[in-house]
Amino acid sequence: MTKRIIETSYRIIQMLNFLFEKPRTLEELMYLFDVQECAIERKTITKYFATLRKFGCVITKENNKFVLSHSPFFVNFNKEDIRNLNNLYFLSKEVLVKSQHKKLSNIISLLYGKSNNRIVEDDTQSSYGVFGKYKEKIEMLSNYLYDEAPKVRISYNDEKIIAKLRNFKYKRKNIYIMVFDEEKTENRLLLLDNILNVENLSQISSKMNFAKPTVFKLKGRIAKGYTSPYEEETITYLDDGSIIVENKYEDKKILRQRLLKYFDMCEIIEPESEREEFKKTIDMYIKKYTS
Amino acid sequence: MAKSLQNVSTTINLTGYRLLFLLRLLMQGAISKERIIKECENNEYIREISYDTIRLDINTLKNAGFDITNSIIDGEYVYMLKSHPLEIKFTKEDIKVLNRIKKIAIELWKWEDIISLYETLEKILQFTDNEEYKDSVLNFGYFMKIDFQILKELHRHCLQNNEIAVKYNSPKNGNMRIKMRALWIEHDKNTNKMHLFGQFEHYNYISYLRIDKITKIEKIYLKPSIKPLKKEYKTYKVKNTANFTPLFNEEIIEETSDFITVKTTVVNDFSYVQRILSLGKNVVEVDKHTSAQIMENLLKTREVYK
Repeated sequence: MTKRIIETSYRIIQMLNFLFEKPRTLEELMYLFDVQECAIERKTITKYFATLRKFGCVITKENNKFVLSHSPFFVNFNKEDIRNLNNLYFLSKEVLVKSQHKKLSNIISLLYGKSNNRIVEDDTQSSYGVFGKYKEKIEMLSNYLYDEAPKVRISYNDEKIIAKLRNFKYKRKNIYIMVFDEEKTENRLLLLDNILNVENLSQISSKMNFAKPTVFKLKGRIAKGYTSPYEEETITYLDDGSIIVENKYEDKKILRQRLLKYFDMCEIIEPESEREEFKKTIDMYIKKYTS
Repeated sequence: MAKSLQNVSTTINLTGYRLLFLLRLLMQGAISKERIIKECENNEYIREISYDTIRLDINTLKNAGFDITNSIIDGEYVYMLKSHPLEIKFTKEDIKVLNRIKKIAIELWKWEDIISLYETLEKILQFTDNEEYKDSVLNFGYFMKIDFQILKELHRHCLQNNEIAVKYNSPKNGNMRIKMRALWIEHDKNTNKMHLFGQFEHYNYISYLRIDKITKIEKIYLKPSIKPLKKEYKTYKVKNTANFTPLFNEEIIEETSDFITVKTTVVNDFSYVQRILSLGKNVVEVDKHTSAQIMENLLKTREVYK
């Protein structure tokens, strides 16, 4: 059995729905009601608009279409929400590729369109301005940032690196890209500033899952309080309270710098080459702090 | 009153108005019939509404695509709006872009702004019924381990340097109660962890607690008993690189195109030594005591590799 409803109220809710979907002309609105077999007159539509307006809906007319530019039945954005969305917009303008920025811009416009707000294109509002110089490099590198993307040859300072690109990293005023170095079979973090050229090698990486891990042991209070900053690290807990950590993901140089802070509460177990590199790092700092 | 309502009814539709009013009440949360009647009494255009009319209005909304249930909460029947047709249709590609920019914002923004962004996105995502999309956009990694209410409260205590007792789930000792003077909150971007710095009872130095391990603020002491530490400052000089970020307890006192001189409020000697070492080769000047401590520790570390 169909439950009883109030027809007039139903039509007002329908009107809200139609306008929420997109701006409509008067004729379109009349047609939409007509196909539901409840033809309504212009003056009834005017009355429905007045009812919605009384309730706080802002209905404006643009290019002959009625636009629901604010509805109390949508997100009530406060000043902070507007600031957050504007900041996302300006950040994306600098760090995303054009197509992604456009997509985000459309999402924000859609949200604002339903809540009577606008993105204000004002340069002084941009909280960044430091990443603009990377725009072209981001566009170019992004071409190789999907799962099945081919390997590339990167001219990095004086080095030539054959690599599979992984993801961008952002730190204060710098942008880096994490790559898998095919020859060293390890991940490396490259500063965008130092990337001079990138060539497509048209070959798929086959070694990505075989990155060489660095294994280190932590003991004492460092072991007890240690929680990995990376999901990719695996930790084994030993009976004496110490832990063995296997790290495949982090750039080796950055990892050495991090482990140095743990002093003698940390020991690199393997590979031998990393132990050797670590010794060199310690010696370098001993020399630095002796002088 | 009757006259004025009659005037209004010529310009607006009063039954439609009542339905919109009911919809707004439902969007604010679960509501009982009794509460609806009370709310209507306070509205100048409605005043009176019967149980039957409420039922009719609810049916009308359901017919228009609103999913409304009638269930018992705390022994009372309440109407709850589960989903509605006024929703945003996000595409898979939209979600991908939102996740991408969110990840970058987490890497770059201050913790206060990250949390605020979470709250904005949470508001927006109420308007989609795709749970998978919601979960993916609202996954803020490490921040999901933190109770935002506790964090905001801790921040307030830090601003007032209040003495508080917190319940702390220590990785070493399990649950414990810690009394401290709250000083500042820091989000370490390298390790992506948040810490509450403070002066602990019975300890004559500043230390920190992991914020995700603080499960409750148990007490705020109105009469402080922890004697404030005499602040110790140290300065160091580093090369001016784009990467240098001063910590919360650091102040840049001189900056040239080549070098930056930083004044630090020392948390404790070991943390300061770690901080200097984390700056790597870029450190150009540090006090003798710290330099000697670094040397002592480096020599001990070197012994491990003999």
